[in-house]
Amino acid sequence: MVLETLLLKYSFLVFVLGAISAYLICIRSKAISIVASSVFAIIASTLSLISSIFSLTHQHSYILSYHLGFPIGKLELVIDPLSAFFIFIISLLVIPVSIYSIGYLKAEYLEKNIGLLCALYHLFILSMLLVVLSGNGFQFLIFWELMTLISFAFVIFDIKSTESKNAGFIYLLMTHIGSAFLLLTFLIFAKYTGSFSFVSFNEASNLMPASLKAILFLFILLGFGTKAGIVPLHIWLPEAHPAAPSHISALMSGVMIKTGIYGILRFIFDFLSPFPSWWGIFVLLIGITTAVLGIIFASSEVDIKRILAYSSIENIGVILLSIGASMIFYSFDQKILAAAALVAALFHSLNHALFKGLLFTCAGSIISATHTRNIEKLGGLIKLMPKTAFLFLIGSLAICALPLFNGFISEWLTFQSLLRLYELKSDFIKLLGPITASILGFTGAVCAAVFVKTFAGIFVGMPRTHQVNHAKEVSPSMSLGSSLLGIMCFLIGIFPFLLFPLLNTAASFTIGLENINIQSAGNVNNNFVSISPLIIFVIILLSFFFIYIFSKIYGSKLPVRKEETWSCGIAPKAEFEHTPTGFSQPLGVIFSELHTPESFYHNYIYLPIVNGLINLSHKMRPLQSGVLQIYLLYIFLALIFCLVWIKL
Amino acid sequence: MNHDTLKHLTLLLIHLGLLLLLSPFIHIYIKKIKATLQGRIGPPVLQGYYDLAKYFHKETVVSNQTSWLFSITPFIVFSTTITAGLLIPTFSSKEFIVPLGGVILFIYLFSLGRFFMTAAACEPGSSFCSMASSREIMFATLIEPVILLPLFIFVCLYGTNNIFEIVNQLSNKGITLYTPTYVLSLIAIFIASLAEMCRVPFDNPETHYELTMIHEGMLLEYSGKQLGIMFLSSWLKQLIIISLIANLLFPWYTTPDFTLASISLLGVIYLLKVLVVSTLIAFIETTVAKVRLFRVRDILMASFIMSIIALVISVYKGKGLGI
Repeated sequence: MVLETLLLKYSFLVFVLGAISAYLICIRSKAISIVASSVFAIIASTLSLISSIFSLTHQHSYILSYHLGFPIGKLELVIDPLSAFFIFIISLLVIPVSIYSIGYLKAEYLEKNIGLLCALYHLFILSMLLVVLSGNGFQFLIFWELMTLISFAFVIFDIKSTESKNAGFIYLLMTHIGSAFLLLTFLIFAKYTGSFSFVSFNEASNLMPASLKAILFLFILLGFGTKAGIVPLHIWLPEAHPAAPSHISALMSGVMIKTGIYGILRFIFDFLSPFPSWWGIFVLLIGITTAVLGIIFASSEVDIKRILAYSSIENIGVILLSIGASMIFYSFDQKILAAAALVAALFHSLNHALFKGLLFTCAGSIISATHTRNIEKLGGLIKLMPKTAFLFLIGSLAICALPLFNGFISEWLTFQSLLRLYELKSDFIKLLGPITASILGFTGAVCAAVFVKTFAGIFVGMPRTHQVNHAKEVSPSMSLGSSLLGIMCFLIGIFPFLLFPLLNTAASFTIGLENINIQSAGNVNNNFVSISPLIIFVIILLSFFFIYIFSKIYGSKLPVRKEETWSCGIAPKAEFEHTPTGFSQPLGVIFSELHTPESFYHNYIYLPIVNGLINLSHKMRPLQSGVLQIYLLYIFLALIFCLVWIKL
Repeated sequence: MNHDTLKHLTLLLIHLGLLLLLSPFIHIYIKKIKATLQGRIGPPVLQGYYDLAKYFHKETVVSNQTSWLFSITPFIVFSTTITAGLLIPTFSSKEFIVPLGGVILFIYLFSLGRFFMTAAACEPGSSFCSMASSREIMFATLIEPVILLPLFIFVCLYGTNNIFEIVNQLSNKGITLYTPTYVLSLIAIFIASLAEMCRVPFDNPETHYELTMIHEGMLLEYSGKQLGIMFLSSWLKQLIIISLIANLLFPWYTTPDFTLASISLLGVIYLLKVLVVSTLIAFIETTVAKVRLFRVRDILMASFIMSIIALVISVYKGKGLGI
């Protein structure tokens, strides 16, 4: 047995063991159960992390099959660089989040059903791993549903609040609409290939007519897009993510929605290629719409977790942008450029998992310390919770794609891919590239506005309510979990090239290239791409110390004096500051046209569909007369119809 | 250390020295030209240096509500600005040692400084500072796409991200460089740059009135050395952007030999280019009034549309659209 498959198997085993033992230990002691659950999760995800790094460095693809008996049948798992990369992302996020969950669960959920929460936590991670590993459409759907249902359980975990119930309902409804499209897709695939196995799906592309492929493409976008949260299918996301416990929100926003991205990549590049260029343009346009609207929605929110949920929508848009660019390059047979764009998409998926994990864990710390999610009620926490403030600042800088942090590198790669669309021989695409790139710059700037508002609202100025005054810095395990994520965000921002071998393998496998160094291959004909994050960091550091030392040596030697802020003769009050809502008001005025409220989607997209369905069922009502003879007639007619159908 | 690296380092040091020394002068120069146009005498030419020395010799007072973020911000703003200054050519368009990054890094370094500046401005809890900060960040969302698109047009046309390389390629084109695409893009960059430099018609760098202030408002609670560094950074940013425009407008005479005569000649030429652009800014400031806050969007959108037209022309050039 090869090492990586063995490691993976053990990791699954540890996850199952972890789930069972957490549940059993909880009967005796809740505190021990929390620690045990986290230790199990850390061991299991370390195993899967090592396994995924092995398979990425060795570029192996395996197909494993186990016979598991009746309900599942033969379990088919495919480990190839694409799925290994998503395992890498999931495992990398699970380790710090598990450390964080020790302190978080102790602080927040001790009187709740801890055993169930911990057991579900393990099963949730396991189901995500199995979704990306699944090598069979039928099992894929089972694991997909399992993942949805477990996360649904998290959303409604706080069952007493009506908010959670509503959120859970919308979540369940939307994801099942998505799943319905996926089921349809798989059935159509199975009809052409005669099997649910992904291996046979590979040949489906040659068998299908182009129009059917286009329909399948739309189904895939609808199915996986619902999970990923593309606008206008995003409505569940800002409801469901805030309702779940914070460490779960980190996983849901960080990696669960990425399984949607995985599905899109797997189906489009693996099963449906080759495809025409309008597919790529379509994905690109969806990406830019999602990115812009996602972040504009976030700008008017005051609920910290909703802001983060909306910003996840934006980041999914950014990822789709580079996927769209990659698809366009692919359809023009520019495979190296397609792989480079895909590297941007995969890299941003990884980076988003890290900084969104960081922000959600910090948000959890803030909520745990102050018991409010409303940033209007906070303020001044930088003095009471200095560590959390610093970590939240790092997360904000990373998510705004500012230099020195990981978000910048992947967004920079996205910019490069979009700009190189100009090299293709199509006028429309030539226009599209630079314009979408500058709109991406716009989303970056709005993102900065949103996170300045959030950071300033929570940490800076004076406390706006008394809730803040008794806030304390969170427990060491919570800080440690967040710190690990913060360190990763920074290190990847300075040393991104360490990850490029893994990204190259995953991207070139998906595109179908021999593994080559995409970064240098893209550089051969011109020096389009060049950036030196480490040198930039050193220069910023040097100039920082230069001006610091200069200001110490030169000029006045008086110490810095602290005085009250001048507020025209009255004592400063928290009411004098801008509230977060006031802070983002000019932005709201400027972009009032873009700023469609949530009710817009309900009223103009979802309500018509729902009303249509209700009308249709009203029209169908006469069929259900309740008279036995009529029903017998139906059965008879159906029988005849079937017989005739078979005869034909 | 080999000879080439030494040469590069020398050029780098001259570049940094020029930026640091020239920036207070250019700031006062624009003021002086404006004063002359308005029939006033204006400040002495060296006033910028006097001001900096004054700020550095004053006592620093900070609000007792502030934390480390407020005190660290001036240094961060300075270091990100000067780093952005390394990404553009001044008197020489030769690359310093290694390629550091291109237009995207250039714009995003300013954003990094702005993030800290706007967040720190909320710290003292003064309503003026937080209002200025909220307006500044709103402007940024408008400026960034508008300044990026014309720069991207240059990137796409010349197939490189590096501003040094763009200027070199432009200078090779001789006088044929002034194509419609080029002119429209440059006008768009210029308009967006006025906003980025916080100048009229977008912001008034001369006032502290609460209704007009944006950039200055954020500095209200700074004093002493911190204020000095903040001012120096904003003057530096202004010079960096002016240099970028100047070198895009007149890309010639930017490849010095490594001799004292050549370097000083090109230094003088660079100074002349910068003075031309600064004079232009002074003229615009005297003839145009500051627009209402929410009308800023319209001007910047016009500039955005101008760059879209530039892009369309570049794509459809010679394809029978009659352009």
